[in-house]
Amino acid sequence: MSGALQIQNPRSGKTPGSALTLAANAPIPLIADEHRPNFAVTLPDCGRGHQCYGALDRKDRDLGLMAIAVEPNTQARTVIITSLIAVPIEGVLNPVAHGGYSGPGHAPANYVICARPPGPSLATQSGRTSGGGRLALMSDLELIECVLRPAARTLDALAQRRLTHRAIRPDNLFSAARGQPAVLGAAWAGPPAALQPAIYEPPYSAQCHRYGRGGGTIADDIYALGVSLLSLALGEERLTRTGEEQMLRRKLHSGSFAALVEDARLSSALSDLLRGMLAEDPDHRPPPVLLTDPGAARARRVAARPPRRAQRPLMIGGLEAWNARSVAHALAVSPDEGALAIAGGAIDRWLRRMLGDVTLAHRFDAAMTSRDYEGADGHHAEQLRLARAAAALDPLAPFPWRGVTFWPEALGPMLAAGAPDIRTRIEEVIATDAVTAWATVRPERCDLNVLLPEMRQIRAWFITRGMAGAMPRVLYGLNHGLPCQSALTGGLLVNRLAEALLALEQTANTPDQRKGLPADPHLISFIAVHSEHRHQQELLGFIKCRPEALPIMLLRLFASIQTATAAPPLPHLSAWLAALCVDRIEQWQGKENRGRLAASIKAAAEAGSLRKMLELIEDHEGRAGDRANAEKAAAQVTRIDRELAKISVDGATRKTRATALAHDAAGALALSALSAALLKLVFGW
Amino acid sequence: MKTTSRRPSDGIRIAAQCLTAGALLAATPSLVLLLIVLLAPGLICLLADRTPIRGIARASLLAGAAASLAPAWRFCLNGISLDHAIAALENIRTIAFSWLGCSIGWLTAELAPIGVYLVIEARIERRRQRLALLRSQLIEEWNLKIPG
Repeated sequence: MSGALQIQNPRSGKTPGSALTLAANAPIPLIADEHRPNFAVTLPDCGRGHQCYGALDRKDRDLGLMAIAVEPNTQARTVIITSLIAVPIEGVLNPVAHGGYSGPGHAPANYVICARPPGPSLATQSGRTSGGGRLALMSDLELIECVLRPAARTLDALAQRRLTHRAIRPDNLFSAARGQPAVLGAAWAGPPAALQPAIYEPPYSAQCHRYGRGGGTIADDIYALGVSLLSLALGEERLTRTGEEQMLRRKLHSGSFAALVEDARLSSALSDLLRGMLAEDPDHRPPPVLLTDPGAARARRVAARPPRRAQRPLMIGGLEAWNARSVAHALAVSPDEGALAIAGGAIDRWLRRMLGDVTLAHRFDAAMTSRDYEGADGHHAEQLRLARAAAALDPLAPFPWRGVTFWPEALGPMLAAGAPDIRTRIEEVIATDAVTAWATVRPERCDLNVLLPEMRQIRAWFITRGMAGAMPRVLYGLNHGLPCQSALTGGLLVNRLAEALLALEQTANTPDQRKGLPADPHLISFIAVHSEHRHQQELLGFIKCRPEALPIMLLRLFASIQTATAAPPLPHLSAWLAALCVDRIEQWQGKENRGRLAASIKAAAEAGSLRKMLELIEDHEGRAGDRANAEKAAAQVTRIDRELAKISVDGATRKTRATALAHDAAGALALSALSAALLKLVFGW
Repeated sequence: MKTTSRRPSDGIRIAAQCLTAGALLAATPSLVLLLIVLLAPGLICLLADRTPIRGIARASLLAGAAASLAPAWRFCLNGISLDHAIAALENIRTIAFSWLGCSIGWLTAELAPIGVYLVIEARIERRRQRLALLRSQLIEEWNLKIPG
């Protein structure tokens, strides 16, 4: 599985340049602050399927480097790039930098800056064209001294670091001139072996989907080197006219060496070397260090038992299978007919009666009586059974699922670059945990201690709910170097967290794109993968987040990223989030408090400070004070209501009291009159 | 006018009042006659008044007494006799003045509750309006969700 993205240049200590050019007059960012593609110089013979340009340094000097464009929806091989940047290996076009770049007139893309080939490729060195399968013809001595030995030394150095090349072929081997040691070309700007012609791949890799070949092992490079030697020795590519499927079947039926060499005349030395290098089983191919001494490699003979041939072929989906590995291949390419053959017991009978391999039949039976199918629906259970059947019949075969074959380590590139139907198949594979079921049938051929935890991790991502889970999470989890594919990035190349915020800022500045939330599953999954546990607290909230809480969750996350990446002010994104968080302001009960808070948030948004905005919105102390005052106000209203109710029901009482009071007053008045009359009468006043 | 239920002590009080009136009638029948005639409207009020403390009759009798004090004083100075009482009662102005006093007392007691009630209600209404205003201000200020 792909490791963590390491795009920092260890030698310069600088991070790759961003492809984000927001201001028209801003300086064009450089890749690793040092390089840029020179689009005026195209190098069609160097990229081998990739767009390839010259490269200039920051002072516009041509230092003999080239820039290879990474295909959209794929990622460069960042692990090997990082390793080779740190410690280059002799005999290969070492990468020196990697990163995004957006030049005038060119769409933003990721580029790998690496050394330019020292000369033409071996395929064209003799002056003969490489079209029509014709190649340069080389002598045995030349092949061994100029191709085999230097390539083996390079592969040995790669193997010591557990790296593979996976793009060895005559047109990707270069030398300064005839008789000079060959140099392995670049193989860094795309998934491993994605552009490799099927003839140069072992049959178990060639039958895989283009992006599903995986990193493989150094033995696969040995195989490709062997085919390259054969092609250069014969001056032509073999089996080019038969078609890939036919070539593959011939390799599976007769073995690669027999299928490729056929009746061609080779020296015994080269023939012995190639017999080992083209062995079907990777364990039987000589290690690179042995190939640096061709004499010793020639003397090494591994007793590989040829596949047992049946008395009669087994027909599956129109394919004629004479041995077990051909049956496994037929099951992979014709899944429906294969499932019928398994269900009807045809394969079991054929194994026992026609092939006569009881051990294999028992192994096949054991794979079919598994509890792994429980819980899967009918069609998926059928495919699970088929995958296990293929693994039982040929443990070297890759994982098959509904007509598509790939190695589990290539799930990431398949998911990133595959068509929608491929993505659907991968989703089914993850949902049914099919790879685990397949791998347990062939434990001797894979490290279950590594594979099973990885598949558990993928499944955990898959079943994670919310924006930071499901297939987008799997996509970025398996492709650390893949740029963010969110529509919210506005077509900008986003490789890093800070770039994601800047892209969102640009989107927020476009009114017609400023709709809904400033996030989608792709963006959040990208952030989850690239945050490297720094924003886990914020991301965990997305798992069980209610829709109405999403704006504040996003604000927390973006504020955290803005702080962590020291991103510049983001006024438009802040305004977007402030508009979405308006209900948080409405939760404050005091009108004056709300007004003050809204004004403060507006000021923070204009300043582009997400952290300040978050602090204002999540002012728990102020909110508690507001709530307490609101409770006091509510209590006061209750008292008023009580008093008003009392006023409304006390009318009769007041009337009675008014009458009594008036009567008392009238009595007092009359008594006063009586007193006055009495005083006048007595004293004559 | 609100009626009241009689309490047990009322009987004793009425009996005492009747005995006092009987004794007064026996001692000075002429004065009693004069007072009965002069305070006749007030006495009628006393019989008709159903308020708890007979506030209307009280005001009417007190006002009538204030108006009748001068003729009653003259009657006492001229000598307390039935002839003098009849002579005093022959002066229609004396009777009219006393009855006017009773009427004023009655009218005051009847009208005053209306005025007092209106004053009290006006004050209550002002307070109710102040409270309603304060209530709406609090609800608006603090965004309170209180039904009504």
